[in-house]
Amino acid sequence: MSRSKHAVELCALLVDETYGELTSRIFTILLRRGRLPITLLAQHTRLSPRQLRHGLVVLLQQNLLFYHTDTDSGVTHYEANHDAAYALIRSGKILNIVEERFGEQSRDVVQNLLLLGHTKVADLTAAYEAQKPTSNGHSNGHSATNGVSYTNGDHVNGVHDSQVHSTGQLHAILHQLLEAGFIEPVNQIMFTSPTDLYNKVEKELLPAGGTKGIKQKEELRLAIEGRMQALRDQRPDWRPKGNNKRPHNGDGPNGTIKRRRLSNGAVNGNSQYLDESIRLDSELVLRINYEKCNVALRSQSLVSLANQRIGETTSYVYAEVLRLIEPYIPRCRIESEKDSNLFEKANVSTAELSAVISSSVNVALGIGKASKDKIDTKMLEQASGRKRKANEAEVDSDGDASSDESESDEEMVGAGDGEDPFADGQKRKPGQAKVTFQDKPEDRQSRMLQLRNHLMLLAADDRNLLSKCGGGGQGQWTVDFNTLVKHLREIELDNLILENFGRQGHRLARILRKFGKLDEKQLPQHALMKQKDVRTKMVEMQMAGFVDIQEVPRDNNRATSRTIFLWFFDMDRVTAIVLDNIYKAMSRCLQRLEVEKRQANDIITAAERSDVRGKEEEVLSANQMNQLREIRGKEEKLLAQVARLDDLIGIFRDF
Amino acid sequence: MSDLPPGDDNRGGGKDRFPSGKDDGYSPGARLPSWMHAIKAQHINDESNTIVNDVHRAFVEGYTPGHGGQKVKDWMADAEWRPSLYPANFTAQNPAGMTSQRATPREQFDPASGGEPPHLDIPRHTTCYGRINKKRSGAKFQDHRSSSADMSRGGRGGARGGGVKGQTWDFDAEFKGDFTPSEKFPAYKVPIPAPVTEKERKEIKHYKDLQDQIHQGPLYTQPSKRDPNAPAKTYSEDQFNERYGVKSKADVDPFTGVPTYTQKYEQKKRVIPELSGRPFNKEFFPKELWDTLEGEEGDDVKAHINRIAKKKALMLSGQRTDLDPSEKAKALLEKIQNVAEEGDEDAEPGEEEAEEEDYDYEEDEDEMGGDYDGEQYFDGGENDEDDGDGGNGGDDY
Repeated sequence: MSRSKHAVELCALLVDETYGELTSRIFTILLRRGRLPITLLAQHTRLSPRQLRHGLVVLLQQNLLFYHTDTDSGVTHYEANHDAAYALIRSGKILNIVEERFGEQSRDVVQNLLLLGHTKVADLTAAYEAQKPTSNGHSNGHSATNGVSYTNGDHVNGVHDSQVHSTGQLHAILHQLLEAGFIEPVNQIMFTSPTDLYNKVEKELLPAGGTKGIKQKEELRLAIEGRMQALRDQRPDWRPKGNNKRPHNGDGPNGTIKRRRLSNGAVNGNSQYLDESIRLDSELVLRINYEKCNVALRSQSLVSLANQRIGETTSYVYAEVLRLIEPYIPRCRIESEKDSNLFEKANVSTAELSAVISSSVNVALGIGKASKDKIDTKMLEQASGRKRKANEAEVDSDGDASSDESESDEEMVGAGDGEDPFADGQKRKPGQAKVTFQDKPEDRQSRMLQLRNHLMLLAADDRNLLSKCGGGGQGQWTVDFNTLVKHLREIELDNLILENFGRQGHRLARILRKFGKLDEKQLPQHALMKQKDVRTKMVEMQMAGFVDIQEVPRDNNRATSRTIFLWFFDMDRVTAIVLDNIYKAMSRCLQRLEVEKRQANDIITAAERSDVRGKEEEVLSANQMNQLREIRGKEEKLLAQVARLDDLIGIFRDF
Repeated sequence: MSDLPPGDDNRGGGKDRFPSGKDDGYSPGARLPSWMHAIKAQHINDESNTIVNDVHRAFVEGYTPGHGGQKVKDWMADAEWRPSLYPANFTAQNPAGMTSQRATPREQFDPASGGEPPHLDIPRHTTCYGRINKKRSGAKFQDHRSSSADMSRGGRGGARGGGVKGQTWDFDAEFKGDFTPSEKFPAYKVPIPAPVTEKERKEIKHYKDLQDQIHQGPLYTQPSKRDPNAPAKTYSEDQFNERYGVKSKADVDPFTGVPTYTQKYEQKKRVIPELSGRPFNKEFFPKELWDTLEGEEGDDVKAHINRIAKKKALMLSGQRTDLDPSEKAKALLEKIQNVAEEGDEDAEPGEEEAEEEDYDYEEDEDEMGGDYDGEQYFDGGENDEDDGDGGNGGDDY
């Protein structure tokens, strides 16, 4: 699959930024030329075979290439892996998520995996063993004898809390990450490009007589895709044999999920509970699973959406829900049949949630309560009536669920629901006279009810942040990611259009999105704008590629006066254009960064000298220090901009 | 004077209608063709153009114009630059034409004057001009072009959007267009991004840490661009490849070229990744790269270099003269065979040798004990590359 010019440029820049010039030269040629054998690669890059091989080894080690060796001729073709190259920019985000969920030690492990590429467990262990005496010399080097967890617990509070202290701990961390899917065992298929895999499977599955007709072809295609997915999912079994201690997700009283903390509370304590007796197969080769990381990133952006729309506490609850669902979702884009079956299971009940949610999240907060006389009940009844209808339309209504529904709706009425101002009354303002917050000591039951209120809020939102799918365990909840991500995309597009074309352009685009194709004459009526203004705006947007016009002649001679002009707004097309623009913007940011760095080359080399590194403050002069701060500030700003653009790429492309 | 059809009013040119250019003795209003009255009336009755209407009526009836809170003066100042605001024949016809036309019938039916045209001529004229002057001094009402002395032409065609500020295709000798260039850098509101949040800062820190670690590691290769200031855009593969290359001595920066003590702390520039000393999972690499992974490739070349060095040492120790041509040829043959056996199926072993020797240059140098020897200069042609072509940039200081 070939990418746009800007995407290619961006990928080349990212590889250059991360792995240096040699690799990026090879990678650029591969991106531009498609798959090439080593001889042709040498021709195009003008590199010596030795340089070329070294470069290829680095790229393969970092999973940036696919290759395919032809069985007949023995020639190996190399092909660039765009997605992996793009994922380089996400490494910061991935590390942050891992740190948030599993603590600093896990982050350190993931960082090492990113650094080393795909790595054997044994090699990783060896690397840590080698590291230990130097960096961790003064602490208890031989911690495996007694009270390992205790030792670790001590150090958690100390300086070295990002250090992994023992092999057992390393294995436990790896196990935990594998369980969560952030890292995955490597197999040969991961180095085969999707096209090659397709061809290979097609060869296997193609019936002797070939296919006839569209239907058969379609069947074949589905069969091939299914098989491909199966092949991809065929990973080496990493679970330690005969050691089935690990409880299933969230079921056991001591499940890991229970200890994952959302807020800053007690993350560091995690390592105390890790089961150090786990030993992974030392021959197992591991790497980062970017697909799964994307799922986590998607959850993050959904949580921030919930935070924006409803409130902080509710967004915490939502984060927990998404986290419980995550194990069932191997990747963001669900394509094949098998995956969608998998997705069916992705739901969570209120009871499960309440068992798992951290006690640091105070679910009593976030939903305001008003005293009875302050509520205009008539209005609320109307509102809730509307809502109930809407809910019933959406929700699977077996008897149990619907009774739940009405019951909880009444609760919600009491609690002050959704669109009324009480929900906005944040917990930070307890002094507000109208709204009081429940401060009763929470027993389990009331906590459950409050949790349910939050969930109801999420479900009642216009964007369908949550949907109800059953009545078991006090209500089963699931998330319809496809529509949600579509909403996310719409929100972002709206922002973009508003920024670029003003209020009127935004209005016109939304009208077109709602009505589909619209005649030029109808547009001014809908938009309440003058024909002239409408035309100016539409042409402006057409030039940017956001809307376009279709001519439908009413008779054969196609006279302008006898032609209907239909304006339309094609979401997919606009998305593609926006994506390309974002790629371009990102690569410009990175290029700018390069230029800035080059201008400050002297100070950067000075700061990177081995005698200066780490103690810049002491060694460098005030002037130099200022320069250094300046360039670092610039770097931070540019990288932040790139990271924000990457969020958009995530929303428009990956999620 | 021909009565032109109304549709032609802008293109026909005023000069047809007022051929003399100066209306000496004639009242412009009285001489106005009849179709013009129709246009005027039609235009003035146009409800949508209330401002124009208002100005007109105010002028005719002699009160200070004012329209809906907006000062007419403001409006006119505004409208001056937007000829489209004026209806075609309003701007085209300067105030004189307009007012006198309207004024004419009033005074025609003035009972005092008795309706005799020759008698009316003078007073009407005076009133007319008085009004014109008043009007002209009152506001910059005309299009900038109509301010020329030629009243009869009257800035015709102002409403037409032309290339330059409403200019039409009519010939106009006195035309003074507004040719001031548009602003080169118009004021632009630079969007300022929101400040970096704590979370973003953390992400960036992680990203930079990782990047830093990779750059310190053995797999990173330093940039070797000849000219970092060359434009980033390249148009062909050749151009793209030309930008890179081994740094030659000619490119040494004289300001940093002289070795200083602190340079020993600087990061070593690496042009090729160091693969030795790292474990690789061979099974995930294609077979043709296995040698590279194991460093066998390097070993081969090293052995080769050692052989050369030994030979050279041998030669230096004075056995060179004993070597007769046949033996020399034999040695050469042997060497070629060796290379063919040991070096793998590479197309250009020579090139690789050169690279490799360059790579292990210092080691090589030690064994040879000096890289220049006048006596040996022209000997052993195949060993010429020994001198290390300075390819290793940073390591050479």
